[in-house]
Amino acid sequence: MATIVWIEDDTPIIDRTVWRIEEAGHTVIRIASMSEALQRTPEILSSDLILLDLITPEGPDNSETEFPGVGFLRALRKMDVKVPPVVVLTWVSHDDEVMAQCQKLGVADIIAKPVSPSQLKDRVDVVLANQRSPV
Amino acid sequence: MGTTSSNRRRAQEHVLGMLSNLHNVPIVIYETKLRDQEQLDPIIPKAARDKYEAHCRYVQSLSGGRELCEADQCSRARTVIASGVETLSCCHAGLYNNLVPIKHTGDSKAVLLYGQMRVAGADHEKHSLQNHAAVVRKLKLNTDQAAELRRLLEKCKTFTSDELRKIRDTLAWFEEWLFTMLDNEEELRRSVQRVSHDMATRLQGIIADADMLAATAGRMTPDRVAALAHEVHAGTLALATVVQSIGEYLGEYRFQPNPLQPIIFEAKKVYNTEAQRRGISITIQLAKPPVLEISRSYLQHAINNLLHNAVKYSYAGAPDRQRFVQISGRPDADNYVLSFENYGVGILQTEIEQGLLFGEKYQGKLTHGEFRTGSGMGLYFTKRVVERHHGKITVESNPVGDGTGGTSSPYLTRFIVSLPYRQARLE
Repeated sequence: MATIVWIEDDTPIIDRTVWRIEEAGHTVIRIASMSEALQRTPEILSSDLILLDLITPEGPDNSETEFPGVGFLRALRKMDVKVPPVVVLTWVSHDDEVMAQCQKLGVADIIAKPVSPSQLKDRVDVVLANQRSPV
Repeated sequence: MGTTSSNRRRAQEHVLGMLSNLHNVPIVIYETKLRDQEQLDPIIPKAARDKYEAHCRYVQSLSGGRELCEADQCSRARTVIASGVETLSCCHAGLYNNLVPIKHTGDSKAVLLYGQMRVAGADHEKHSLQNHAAVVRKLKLNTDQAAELRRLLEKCKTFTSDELRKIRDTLAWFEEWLFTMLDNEEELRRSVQRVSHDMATRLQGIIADADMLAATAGRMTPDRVAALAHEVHAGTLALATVVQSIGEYLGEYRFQPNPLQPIIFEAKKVYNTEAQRRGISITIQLAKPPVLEISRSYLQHAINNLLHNAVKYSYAGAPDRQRFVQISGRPDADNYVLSFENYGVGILQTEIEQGLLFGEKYQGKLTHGEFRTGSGMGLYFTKRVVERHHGKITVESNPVGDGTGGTSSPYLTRFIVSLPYRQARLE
């Protein structure tokens, strides 16, 4: 069973959406802001998968031209350590520029919000299975 | 400058085309992309291409010539965007362009480029011929081709500094026009983002609850099924208020006499489940419930926002007596005054005094680390709606202490909304 970190400021939404994943036996750690995510980076890096909401506030970069989640992902990549697969959750999946940035930063999947708990679990399962299978 | 919207792009093409025809020189623009400042997006209308000098067309017709021209223009545009300084610069093949940086909100984010032309003066001539010689080498032109290129260069019109200045002067209004377009576009972009985010958040809750109902209703108690069904219903009502807020951008307010009480109860209906989950009771006390001249849908949206904030920022873990949201109302001369009170996360005095709280995208300092579902737009729009009703909204927030002497003592926060009974005589 996997440990999944979910970075999302709207934690009541996590609670209502996560049940399919938890029912499958995975552990989900909730992180409600980017500043908390930065503080808990070691825990995040030792997880099996990161679910990342792009607009969770308080990112490392306050630039208005970049979503906080993208800034956080960029900061992780700069650390030169092994980063668990990242699945981006966003309602801006129609924004080609943002999606191109995410892909450049090597995200494993991009899920458009809103997403049903079943769809989310299925997509998470695929990413976890790909991670386990030999390259 | 940002990703050019298709409407703005079309408008810019028309205006640049018109200016190119007016001055009989190509006038184009290079914009940086919103999230990738390294990338430049050229806007070159057909009318500007039609004004290209024969010299330029000839270079571009040669093998590798077009690529060299494009790389050279981009490189010079980048230099001017970086420096922010207007520059008369010679192209790789010997013709001059004037490059004008366009600064929006402080930074150079685009460059207007006009020419191609020769410029009077010995230094300019010398530089032009040097670049001509360089392009002959780079493109490995034979003697005939080099001679033809030189002939075309000499045929190009020579501009005096006065003529250049005259063109420059007429471009100033283009910048102003463009800034207005950009500001409007930015406001629209932010508005659409806010509405999309709000709708996606509400939909996410509805989908999650419906999924759980569909999958596990058979295993649940009837009470649990009813509670979840109610959450789905409440979610759809909350979504409806977001949809209604879209009209706010269109400015469609229709003031009609409406009783206030059902609006308050409707808001309670929407957020009562969330309040119960957090252990908060919502009480309503309206003295002489009024009929007000209002735009019902917009006021509903504003009241919903205020109640939702009060619920969101109430302490769930504080002693019982502090877990409540109270909505009260009373007549005050020509107005009816509503008050929304809660104990919990407070608002700093400086935020109130500086009016920050009602600013666009502002999120209260003390709410950091709390469960936030908003985008910092709720109070901004609430204030807009209240003011469109010729009403006033104020807030007070004071720490009341929880008896422990800790630093996280709850605040008593009170939003006060004053609405006139009638609109017509105020219009």
